[in-house]
Amino acid sequence: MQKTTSDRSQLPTMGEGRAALLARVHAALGRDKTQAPSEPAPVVDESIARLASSDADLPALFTERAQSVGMKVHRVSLEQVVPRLRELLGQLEARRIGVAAGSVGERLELELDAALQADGVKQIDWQAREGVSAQYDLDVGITDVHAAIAETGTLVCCSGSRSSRGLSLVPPVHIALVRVSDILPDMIDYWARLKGMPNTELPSSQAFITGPSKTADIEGELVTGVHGPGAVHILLIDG
Amino acid sequence: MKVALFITCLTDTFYPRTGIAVVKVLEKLGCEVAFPEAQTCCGQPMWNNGHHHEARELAKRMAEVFEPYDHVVTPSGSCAAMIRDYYGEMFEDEPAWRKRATALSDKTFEFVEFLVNVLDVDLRKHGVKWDGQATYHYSCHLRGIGITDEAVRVMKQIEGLEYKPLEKAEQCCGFGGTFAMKYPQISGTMVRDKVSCIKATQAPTVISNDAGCTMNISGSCRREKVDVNFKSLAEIIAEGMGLM
Amino acid sequence: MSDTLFPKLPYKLKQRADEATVNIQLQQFVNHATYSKDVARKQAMGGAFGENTDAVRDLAGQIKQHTLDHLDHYLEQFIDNATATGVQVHFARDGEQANQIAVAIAEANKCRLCVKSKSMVTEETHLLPALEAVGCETVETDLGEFILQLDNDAPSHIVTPMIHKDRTAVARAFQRELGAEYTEDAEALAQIARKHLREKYRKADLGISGGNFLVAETGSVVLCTNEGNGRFCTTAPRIHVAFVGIEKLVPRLEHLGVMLKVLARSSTGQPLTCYTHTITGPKREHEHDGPEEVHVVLVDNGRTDVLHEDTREMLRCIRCGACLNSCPVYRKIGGHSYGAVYSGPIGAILTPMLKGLENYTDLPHASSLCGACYEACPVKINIPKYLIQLRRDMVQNHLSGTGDRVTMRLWGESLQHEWSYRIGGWMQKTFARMQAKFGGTLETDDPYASRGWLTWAPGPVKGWTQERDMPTPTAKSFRHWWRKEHGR
Repeated sequence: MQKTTSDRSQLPTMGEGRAALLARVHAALGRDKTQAPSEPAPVVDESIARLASSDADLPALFTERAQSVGMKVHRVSLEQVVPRLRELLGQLEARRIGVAAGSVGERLELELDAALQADGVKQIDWQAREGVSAQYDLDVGITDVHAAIAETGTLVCCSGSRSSRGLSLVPPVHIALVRVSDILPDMIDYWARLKGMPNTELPSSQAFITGPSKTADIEGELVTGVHGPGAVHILLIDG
Repeated sequence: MKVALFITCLTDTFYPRTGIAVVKVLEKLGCEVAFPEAQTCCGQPMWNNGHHHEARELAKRMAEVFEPYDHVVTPSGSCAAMIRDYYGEMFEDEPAWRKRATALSDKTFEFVEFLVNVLDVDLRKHGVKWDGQATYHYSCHLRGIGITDEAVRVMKQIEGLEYKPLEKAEQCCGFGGTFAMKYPQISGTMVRDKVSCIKATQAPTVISNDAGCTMNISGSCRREKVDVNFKSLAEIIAEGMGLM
Repeated sequence: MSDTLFPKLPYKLKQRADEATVNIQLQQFVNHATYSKDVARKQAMGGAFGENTDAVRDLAGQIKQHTLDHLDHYLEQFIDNATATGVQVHFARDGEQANQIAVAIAEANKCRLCVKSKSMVTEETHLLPALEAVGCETVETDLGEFILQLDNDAPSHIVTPMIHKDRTAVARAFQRELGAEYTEDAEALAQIARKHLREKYRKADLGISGGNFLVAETGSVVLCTNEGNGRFCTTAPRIHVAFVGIEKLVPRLEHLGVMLKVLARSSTGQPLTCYTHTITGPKREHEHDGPEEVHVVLVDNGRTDVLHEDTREMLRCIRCGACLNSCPVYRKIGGHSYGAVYSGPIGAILTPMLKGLENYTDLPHASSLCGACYEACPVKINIPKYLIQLRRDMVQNHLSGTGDRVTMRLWGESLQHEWSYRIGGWMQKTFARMQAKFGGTLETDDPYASRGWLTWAPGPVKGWTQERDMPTPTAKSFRHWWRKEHGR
């Protein structure tokens, strides 16, 4: 059962209790109660921390960086999205897929539905069951993104009523639909967008995806797809 | 320019030729070199081993001995780093000594650093010639004083000297003062790694400016039967200037 | 397993370290892997920040230092904000209490299977056996940790836990424990693990993770992983419990951004980890997947002792492993030689603070003080300075041995006077040259350059000559030359 906002302050806590921990922290800091910082938190100096600005050719930079971390980028126009997806799914021999790409537009969803039906690709209703259990047997997960970051070639996939945490993680292939207008130069710009938003309105999950699932645990040899998708395709949509 | 030489105990005892070269090169470049004979040790062995009272006493001695001079030059990055990094911190509770000790920190330079950053010397203008291939050992304590590729830049100004880069140049040779005595086996494994990198360059000469590193690496080369010759950059320059 | 990271105290490093130096496999893998990661770090940091590399390390260090200086404030902020999103925050004084909390959550929800992602704090608290003891099967899902669990082995690196093992060890473990066909192909091995662990994710009702950062402003827990197991463990099971040290806080999301910019670059040379997952509360009512309950266990376990002014800087550590990768000693002796959860340079200063200096007197001395760690550290912890500070504390607390004390006292005293310095030098010289004459070689031509060599020496020099030859002092010192040339 999801707890309601009203009883959150009464959520049980275990262990030694807040006061006991804070007492030791106070002792170490040489005071007897919590004090607000006497000086402001360090300012993030953008002349040091910013690594990409809006002057850059963002689609080109994003493409280069996303490719350098092992994701495949396909640049398409809006009209080409569905044909290109069909082609990709055909190459991947995908039979069962999950789609959560509401933000790209309803027209596209309808178009895609019809096309997939024609190709015999089954769209699974991943929302039919709670949790990710309906997603284990999918061949491909298709999602939109909340943002993309050019500097690192990152996809930002957030939870929400029309999006899924699992579709970008559980199936062996993830296809992300990214509009050129989704691309932000630097991660700094993403945080700026969230500034002032009450934390209860932040997505409960924000996943910054920078490459397919990777490991180098076995003698440093890079292997993809150890838990998450072994391949990530990005359809970078103009317009 | 008046310069006092801080020879350091290891160079004094094991590598006097380096000290001689430093004096001759500095004199040739127009410096007036003094050697205050009351100098002993910067206190690094004591400081690094946690014997801070003993180290402080030696630091006071150093501050006094070198007080009359404008610049102090030492052929050891390690001792220069000791003076520069820790002499201030040592006397946190003794402001008067802190002032005198940091005055020494501010005017102390490692030899190559002094050539490049203070004298701004370009050896090409001095016609320095030294024929042969050499690799170069970057000693760790140069990090402490912010020295990176200065020595290599100087080497490249010497006509005839073919510089052979060393793999894993930034990796410590395993000397570490008393570390080599306390953990000989770890230290030994470290220095053999360095020796194998030296061997791979096939250079007959290793330029090594810190006496401690030189003792360690040359000792391991000899044990491992890697026949190379060790020189400090000061010696190379002095030889290249026809001073030695 | 417990013995490796929790040895009998006081811990003596020498035996394990000496064994490691003759372990050819360890010498090859650890040496190679750490060196290549160190190169990758330099390229990634330098490539991204260029001449600002030092400045961004300063900034990251200042952010952490500021947070620690006001840890009470930011902890309270975090607790309130996390609670507002529905996270249950718990407080653990030590490892045992932290484990009790996890066990209580598991028991209250009748959890039978737990999937766990990599977390150094859970290594500290030794969580896994505690959960297993109450019948909650617990599976490590990080590939390296999973293999270590199968082999009953312990992690030896903060980031790359099985850096000391090779592919044949993995192949054997999978063959023995999972009934898989023997293969040394890394790709195939990863697929075996994937298949096995998928079944675990499907059935798991509890997910345990650590936390790379906590954001005070939003009450978020941030996890950085490459394999995706961290995301799985915090997405698939109904309950997510995060064990996080109290020092992991940053004030705001923009500060998190700076830390993320340096963490993966310093750690593996990547711009970001493949999955950087920010969790702000459990699944919301309108969401379809994600955990229904999120618990954060704030773990002290000795951290408030380190928080004192003298050592506070040590808590800046973001566990990137850059100091391990850059350390020439770690490269030679591997992580297990440090006899504790945290190894390498950061372990050498943190372990004595967390577990008692008297129990780990060897660690501060097992360093050549080369400073590579300080140069590598993305938050600029001056590790060599703290190694020396701990050595000082040992001297002051009479933990350094009488011989050491007397030697240093006498040595220091003899250097206080020019006359005794000279006598000392003369004695050393005469003795060494006699030795060389009888035991080694003496090459005499130039009195200022000639070398003799000792191949064997007694006393404190014995260790030196055991490994390499010792040059003897020259016939005449520099001082002699100066007097001759410039003398009065």
